[in-house]
Amino acid sequence: MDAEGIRRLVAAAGFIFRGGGEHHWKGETPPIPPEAGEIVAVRIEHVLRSTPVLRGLAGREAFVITRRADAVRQSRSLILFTECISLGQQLLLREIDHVEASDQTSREVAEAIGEEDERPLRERIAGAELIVTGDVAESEPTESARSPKGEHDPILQLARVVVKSVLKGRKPAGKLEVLFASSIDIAWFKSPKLHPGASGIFLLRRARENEFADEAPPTAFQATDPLDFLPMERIAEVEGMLGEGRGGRRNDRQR
Amino acid sequence: MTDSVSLINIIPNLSSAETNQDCEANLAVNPANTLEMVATTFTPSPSASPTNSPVFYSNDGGLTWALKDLIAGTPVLDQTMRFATTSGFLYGGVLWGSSNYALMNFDILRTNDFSGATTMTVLANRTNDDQPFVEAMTVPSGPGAGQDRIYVGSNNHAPGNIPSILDLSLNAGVAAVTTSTITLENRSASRDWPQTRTAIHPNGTIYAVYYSDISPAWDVVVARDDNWGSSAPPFQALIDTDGKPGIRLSTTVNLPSLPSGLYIGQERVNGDLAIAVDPNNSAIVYVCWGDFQGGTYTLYVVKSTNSGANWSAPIRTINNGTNPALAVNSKSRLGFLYQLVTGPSSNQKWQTTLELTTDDFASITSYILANTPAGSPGKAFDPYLGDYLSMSAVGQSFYGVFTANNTPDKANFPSGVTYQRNANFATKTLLDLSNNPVSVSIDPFVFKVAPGVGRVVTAIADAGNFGRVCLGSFADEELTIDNGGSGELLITGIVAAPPDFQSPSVLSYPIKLGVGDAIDIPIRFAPTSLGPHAGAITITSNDPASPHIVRVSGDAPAPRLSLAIASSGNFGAVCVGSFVDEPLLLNNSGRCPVTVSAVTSSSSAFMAPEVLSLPLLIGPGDSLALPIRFAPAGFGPAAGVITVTSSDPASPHNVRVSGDAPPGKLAVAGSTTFGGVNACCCADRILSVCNVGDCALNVTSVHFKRKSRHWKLLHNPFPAKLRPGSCLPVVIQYHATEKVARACELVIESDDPATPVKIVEALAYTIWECGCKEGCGKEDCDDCRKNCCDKHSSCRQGYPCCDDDDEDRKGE
Repeated sequence: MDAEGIRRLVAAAGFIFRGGGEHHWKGETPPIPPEAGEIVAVRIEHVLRSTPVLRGLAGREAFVITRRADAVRQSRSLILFTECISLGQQLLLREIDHVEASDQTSREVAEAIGEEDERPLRERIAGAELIVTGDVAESEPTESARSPKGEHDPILQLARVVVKSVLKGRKPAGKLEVLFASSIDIAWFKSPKLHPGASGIFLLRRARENEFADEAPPTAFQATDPLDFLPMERIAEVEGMLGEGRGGRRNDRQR
Repeated sequence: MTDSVSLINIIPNLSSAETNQDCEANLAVNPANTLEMVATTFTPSPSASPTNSPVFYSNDGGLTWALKDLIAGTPVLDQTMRFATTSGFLYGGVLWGSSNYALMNFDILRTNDFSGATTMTVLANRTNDDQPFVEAMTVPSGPGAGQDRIYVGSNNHAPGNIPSILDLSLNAGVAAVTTSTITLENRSASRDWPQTRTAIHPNGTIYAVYYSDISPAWDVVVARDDNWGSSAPPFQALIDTDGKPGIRLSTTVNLPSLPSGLYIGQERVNGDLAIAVDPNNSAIVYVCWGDFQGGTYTLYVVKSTNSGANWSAPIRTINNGTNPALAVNSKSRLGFLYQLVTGPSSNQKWQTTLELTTDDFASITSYILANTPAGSPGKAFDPYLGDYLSMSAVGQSFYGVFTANNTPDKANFPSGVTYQRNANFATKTLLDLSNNPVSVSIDPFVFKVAPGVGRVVTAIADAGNFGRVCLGSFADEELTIDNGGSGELLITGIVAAPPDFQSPSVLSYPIKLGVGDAIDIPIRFAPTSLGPHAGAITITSNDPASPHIVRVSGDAPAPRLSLAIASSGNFGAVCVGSFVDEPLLLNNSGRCPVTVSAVTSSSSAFMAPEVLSLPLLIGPGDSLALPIRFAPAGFGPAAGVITVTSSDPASPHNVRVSGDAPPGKLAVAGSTTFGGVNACCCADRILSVCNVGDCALNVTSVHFKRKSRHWKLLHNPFPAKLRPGSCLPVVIQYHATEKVARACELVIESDDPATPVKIVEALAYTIWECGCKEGCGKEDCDDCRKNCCDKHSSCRQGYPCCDDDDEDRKGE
């Protein structure tokens, strides 16, 4: 499998680990519909990518629904690209694919994971019309925020940002106005809270037409994605990605 | 009434490291299989799936749970799930995707595959909605029987007045599902609030309750449809005084502004609604709503007994409470669940309480399910605990879910709790899979409150083996019946069978036992026949597992009579007219008393003892010597059988006896040969008649066979009985006067069977020395003899006779 194939697998898999068939498994396996595939018991040797919760599963057994049961069963060292479909007393995974765990594939998977971890920010940077550093001077609710429609209402506010530097795009004339969701509802709590005093990197785009375009002046930007506002500590990371965007990616990420 | 309360933190063990704010819980219990449950909270996919979101699933009645990515959408927001009554289908109403209402997906979902291998089927989808709250039921009978009908109340954000609506399907279990949308709001409301709740009765009565914002206050409105929501127009069975569909329970409600105009603790409060209908009577319906008046947010519960036309004054009010849920079980018992902040502001607790009542809260059975810190953890987002929780009733049981601080502290859960995730209750610390501490967070807790059921637990010594009990006797054992259940135990019968085992007679059932109480019941084993016995004590009660059967056993060992007699029953020689007694030893070699009812003899020579009053009773190990008498009536050997009849199953026992009755034995001693006797002299001989046998000899007669004047018995003691070894003399005299010697036969008669008549011949002759012998003619013979005798001066042989000849002559 080439590097691009591995990148696709990493992007699709929520749980990637190195492990192999558990030959000595004698217990019961979870019931699944026959059409789903076959279940193979595997041992998780090392977790390569997962949520924090699943990271602690190294050294444990898991069941993998696979359509290539023999290959999984017979190999002791695979890199399995899976998604978790049942986490209870047992861990049930669905295999997306697997590769033999050679030095080369291990290196390629590690690189792909790194790229995948960076991908959201990279995409956010690439999609941003304006990236600046600055401070929020003031903010005020929009008209809609005065009569929220429901508990998931974003309670939009308009922040005025004093720009310190421009990393991408052209600094607008006058004040930079940024629409943000002040709600801490489940739907919005990860969204940047640009209250006065907030200082950092702003990754901005115009308010989306089908979202909040009518909530703010046409010149206003919006920052509603969690990655739209970053602490200044990440400036080098952002600048690096911006540089890659202008001058190409690092060699080791171009393969 | 005592209930069984169980509570479990449903975060799976393999998720022990998680610290999510897993709030806003909802629970679906499959009425067709209550082992199957699905719960939802704001819990992310375990593997951060870019496409799917999880539900909690249990297939063992809530003992263990697993997260399964069944929802094809992420991230999810509001979610509710319900099982239809009998089909096994789970239906869901889920918001997911964009945070913007305009783009936020509202899916109505269905599945009956909980393997995790497939996601739920999307039955309908649209955007711009809020708080979908699903209810489902399978039509039990009549038109549409077997069809799944689902009702998803929500708040439609598409119209300007954001009305309460119902999305419903009248046949949601088929492949191609059609849904329709009904707008409940019929008044000129500025808008409706997010909560739209429904209650379904199996007869097709559907209630819906919603808040209607009609400035300056809010109405609480109940609408009803009497035909599964398919009436035309639908949900207009209740018309209020304003002529509008929907009865207004209250028109003065004040609600905090959306989305977070009021916080109780860290929990935002923006209205609460709950509704439940009595499954036994569709006219009885309860509603709970929240109202913020005078700075206090209060939950009110009201009741209608005429299908929502009229409503009671509040039958229950809870200040500072939120997240209510109502459910009515199959016994018309109302459950009221809510969360309440208590305590001083410095140490506030979220108290989750379930109240149960059968009399509209005149009396309340209350269970505090959780009493957890309200200040920690700090919230990550709103809602802190959830804008709702849920509870439903299946049969008599109440199932529900709520969320709370997950500190593993038993004191926080007064009704008990179990955790699947790793937790150390001693240190009150959550642990990850490597036993590292994990921060506290908000977790979902599922509870089940079932009417307490008694459970029969029994104990009896030796596993119910009464051991050996003799026939006619009995043994008692205490059977301890303990109520090991969670509710009152009503024992309605204790029956022993077969009749060898006896239970006590109870004057009046039922016997009531409280939880943990026990009674001792005497059980008697009184065998009615010999041998091993097996029986059963059947205890009938309100224990769901009734009847409870206790196996009992016992043995009635057979009596065992052993007989012993000396010399194998040979009594030896016993003379007729005499007797010998020998003891016949009756020994009870068994473990139970033996009764002897008869002792008989087959022979009159052997006599069984006369017993005045039978039966004789011989205890275990005891012996009784019965005298057996041998008293022969005749000579010779005798035999007989002594028969002992008893309670020994081997009875009758026969003992052979024998004996001998020997006769006397005649012997005659002495000489009867006189030889020559001088003429006219007399000579005597003594003859001893003896008994040389072992028994007495009756000599009945000693006499001469023929009379003769020459022979005389001078001494004859007979008849006489001769004792063994004794003799009596018989003196025989010979008078020598006969011319010619003649023998004389002495006859001895006795009862000697060997010689009943013995003849002893006596021989003698006369010595004629006077010379007249040869010349003695007949005619002068007497003279001659006389002369001879006269001349005879002495008797050299014999002695002079002094006897009278006359008599001798007479005897010739």
